[in-house]
Amino acid sequence: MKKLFRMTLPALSLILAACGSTSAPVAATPPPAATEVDSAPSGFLFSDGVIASADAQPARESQMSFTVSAPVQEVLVKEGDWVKAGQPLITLYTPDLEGEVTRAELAAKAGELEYSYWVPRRWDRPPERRQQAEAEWNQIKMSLEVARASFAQSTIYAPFDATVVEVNVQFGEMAQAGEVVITLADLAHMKIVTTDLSERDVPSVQIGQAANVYLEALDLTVTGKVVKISPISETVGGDVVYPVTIELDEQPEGLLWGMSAEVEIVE
Amino acid sequence: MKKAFLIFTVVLSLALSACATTAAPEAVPTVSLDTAESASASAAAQSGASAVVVPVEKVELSFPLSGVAKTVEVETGDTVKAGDVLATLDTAILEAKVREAESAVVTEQTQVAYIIRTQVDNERLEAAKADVDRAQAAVDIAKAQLAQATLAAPIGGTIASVDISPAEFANPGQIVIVLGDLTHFQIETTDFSEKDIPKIEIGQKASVFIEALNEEFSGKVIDVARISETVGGDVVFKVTVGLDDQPEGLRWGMSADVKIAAE
Repeated sequence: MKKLFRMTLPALSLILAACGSTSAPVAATPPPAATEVDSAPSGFLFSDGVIASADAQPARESQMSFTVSAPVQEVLVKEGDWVKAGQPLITLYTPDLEGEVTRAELAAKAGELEYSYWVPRRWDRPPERRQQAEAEWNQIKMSLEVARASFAQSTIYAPFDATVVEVNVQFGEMAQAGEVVITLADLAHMKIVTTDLSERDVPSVQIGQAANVYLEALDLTVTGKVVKISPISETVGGDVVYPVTIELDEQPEGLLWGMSAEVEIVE
Repeated sequence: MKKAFLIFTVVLSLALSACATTAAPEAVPTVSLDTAESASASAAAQSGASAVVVPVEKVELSFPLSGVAKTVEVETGDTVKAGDVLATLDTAILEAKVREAESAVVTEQTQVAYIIRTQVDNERLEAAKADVDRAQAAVDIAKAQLAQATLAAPIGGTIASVDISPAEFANPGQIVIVLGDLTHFQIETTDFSEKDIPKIEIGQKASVFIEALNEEFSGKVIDVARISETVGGDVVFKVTVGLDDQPEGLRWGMSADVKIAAE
C-alpha cells in the first residue's frame, strides 16, 4: 500500500507539470509526503519563487540579407565558422554593378584630361572653363563613389564577432533582395528568456533578483540573475505573458540556442 | 489492489480538476449588459468588458525606405528622449548621392559665373540660373532621403521592443521599434459590445480591475471609438478609460476588467 502511494506521487506530479508551469505555483499544494519526491530532477515544482519555462537565446543575432537580387558568386564561410566583425561572408555575381564602376572610373579619367586641358592660362581659355572642368571632374568622381557604394552591396560582411549559425544559399543560387541568406549569432554569450511567465507573476519579479535555471538537456542547474523584464506583454495561447531575461553567472559548456530551461526566480 | 487503484483514480481526477480551474479564466469573447437579472439592483445597471493596459503615448516605428540596418542604438527597456537616434540604415550610397548632387551645383554655378562675365544674353543667364536651382533641389532630395535612413524617437519613453539587428534588412513600413511612455497608462477595452455602446458617454465613471495586481481602480471614460472592430464575429467598440491615479506596478499589456456605470 505504502509502496503504491509512492508510485502515485510521481504520477501526480507529472500530471500537475502537464498543467503548464504558469499554474504550477498555485496548483502546488502537495500532500505532506511530497518532499520525498524531491530527488526527481524535474525542476522546481514546489518552490516559493516564480517559476516559468524558458529557452536559451544568443545575446546578439543577425539574420542578414542583400539589398540587391543576383546569383550567389561565392559563399566564403560555412555553418559553425567563427567570424570577425567586418569579415566578408557571401558575394553576389553583379557584372552590371561592376561594369558601372569601370565606366565611372573611365569617365573620371576623361574628366581629369579635360580639366588638364583648361589648366594652362591662355587668352582663348577663360578661367570659368577651367573651374567648370574642375567641377565636372569632381562630379564624375562623386558618381564613381556612388557606383562603388552600389557595387559594395554585392558583398555582405559580419556586423560583429559571431558564429555562423545558418547559411541558406549556395553558389549559383539566386539571392533575392531582403531574403535571409545567412544567420549569425554570438553563441558565446547566451541568455535565458522565459516563454510563459504570467502577468499575475510579473509584479513579484524585479531586476537583479537571483534565479536558478534548470537546463533539461544538460540536466544541470545553474545560477543567474534577472536583467530584463519586457515592458510589453506577449500573448501565448490566450495568456498574457512577459518575457523575462536572465543572465547566467557562468555559461555552462554545451548550452545551445533554443535549449529548454526551467527558471525559478527567488529572492 | 483494487482499493489502491481506486485511490489512484481519485488522486488523478483531483489533479486533473486542478488543471481545469486554472484554465478557466480565459478571455470571454464578448460581455454584454446583463439587464435580465437586474431585478434587485435595478438602478445600478453596469456595462462591462475585458480590457488591456496601454500607454497613453505609444509609437510603432519603421523606416520609410528599404535598406540594411547599420546601427541599432537601443535595446528593450532603454529610456530615450524625443529626438534620440534609435537605429540607422547603411547610408553609403545615399551619402555618395548627396555629394554627387552637391558637386553638380558647383558645376552649374561656374556656368552662371561665366555667362555673367561674358554677358552673352539674358535668356542664357536665366537658363543657367534655373539649372543651379534644379541642381540645388536635387541636393535637397538626396539629403531628405539620407535623413530617412535615421530613425529618431518622436516621443520620450521606454523601448518596448526592438525587432532589428545590425546588418538585417528592413522593409519600408515594417515595424522595427516600439516605444511608449510608461509613466502614463490608460485602459482600452477589447470586447465592448455594440449593444452597450449607446449608453456610454465620455466622462462617465468607470471601475477598472487589474487582474495581475488584484486591485480595483477608479477612472472615467475618455474616448469611445467612432468605428467598430470585429472580434470573433461580434461587433465591438474600443472604449478608452483614463485612470484617476497611476497605480504602481502597471505594465503594458496587462489584462483588466472594466465596468462602466450607466447613468
